[in-house]
Amino acid sequence: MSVESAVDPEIAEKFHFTQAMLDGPIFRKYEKAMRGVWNAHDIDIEPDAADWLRITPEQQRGLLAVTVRFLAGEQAVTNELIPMLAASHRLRRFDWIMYLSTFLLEEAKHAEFFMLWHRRVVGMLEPDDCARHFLARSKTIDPTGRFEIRDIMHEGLPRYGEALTDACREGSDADVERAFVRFSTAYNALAEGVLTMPSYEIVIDSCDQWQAFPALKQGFRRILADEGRHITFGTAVCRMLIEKDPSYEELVHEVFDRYRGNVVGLVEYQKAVPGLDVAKYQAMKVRHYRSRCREMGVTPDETIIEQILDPEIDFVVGVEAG
Amino acid sequence: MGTLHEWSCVELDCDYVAFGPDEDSIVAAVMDHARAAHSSFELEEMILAALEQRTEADVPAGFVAVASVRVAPRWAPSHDADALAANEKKSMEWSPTRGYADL
Repeated sequence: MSVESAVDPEIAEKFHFTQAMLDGPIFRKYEKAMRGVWNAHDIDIEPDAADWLRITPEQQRGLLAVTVRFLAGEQAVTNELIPMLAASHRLRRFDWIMYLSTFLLEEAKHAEFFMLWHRRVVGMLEPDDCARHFLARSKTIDPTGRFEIRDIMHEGLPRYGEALTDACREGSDADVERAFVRFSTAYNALAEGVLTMPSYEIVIDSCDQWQAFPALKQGFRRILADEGRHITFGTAVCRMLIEKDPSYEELVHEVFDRYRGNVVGLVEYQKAVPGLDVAKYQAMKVRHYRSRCREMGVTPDETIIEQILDPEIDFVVGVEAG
Repeated sequence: MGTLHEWSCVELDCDYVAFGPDEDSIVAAVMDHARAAHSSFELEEMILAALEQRTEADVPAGFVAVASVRVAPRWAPSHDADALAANEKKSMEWSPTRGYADL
């Protein structure tokens, strides 16, 4: 055609792909996720069932305290992801929606992997059986009274998710962005990116130490590859929004401050699994906190780092202190 | 002058910095560093998210080459040069050409 006809903007809005989007970091994560699809049923769990019978009851209790929290946690994050999809739609970010479709599938698959593992290895499936092994964080007491311990997975994420959903329904774009930063900080940066990372290493280190559970290790390796994308999606989005409005940085610190007790206390597994180097995982938490701040483009709160490393702050999150 | 990628470690009391010409080589170097220096691991996506774009002029004087990356001389002996070859990358992640490498 020699004459270009005028484009109806309402029709153009039906199309979302642009070269800039295809070249962007979030679409790249979508492509990597699509290339790396795996199936939980392809992991052979049988060797782990035999290993379970040969470790001591104390080792069984320690390991189960970790894996049951993963079983619950993966179900929680699967359930709580929808507000992020709704917010991406509201902010007209089709690349975020495409990536989040893989994120949701992966979280569901992680939950399935832990379900399969517990059913075959431990002989445990029904909610009442699993609940008996779940350490409730509300029971934690900081003997100094300085810190309050909250349950970010089962209290924090639903609350931030509800606020994000409300903002999508009734708020301005800026309201959605602020709620997105809070939600993503809690979900991706704090829960997935700081609190959970040492737990992965604890399970891998335990499997190495016991020379056991190859299926659990293999599952964790696959899950970690997915989680690397999840965490850096959330921190990348926070960075984009903070670059747009630097006042959003304060929201990141607000979320970390609310869960300060969970961050600075010892992860329960550090003491639940016998024979581990407790200090290694506190130092690791500092590394992950600094890394998440770097990815989001925010300045780390040095008081959080000092408190993580303070040997006098040694209460165990999830276990009655003393 | 070509673009370089810079990655710096944020582990406590660690001053490791690496410069590499491409993502694969620097990811391999950082994964080797995390294993050798901290008995830990870094995920590929997290390494990529922390890269800074640099030029040749940004590489400090005295940095030495290990495979295709450059690090401070005191860090060079800690590296397993074979592990730094990009095609030997010990990645926890899927690669279109290498699949899942075994850690």
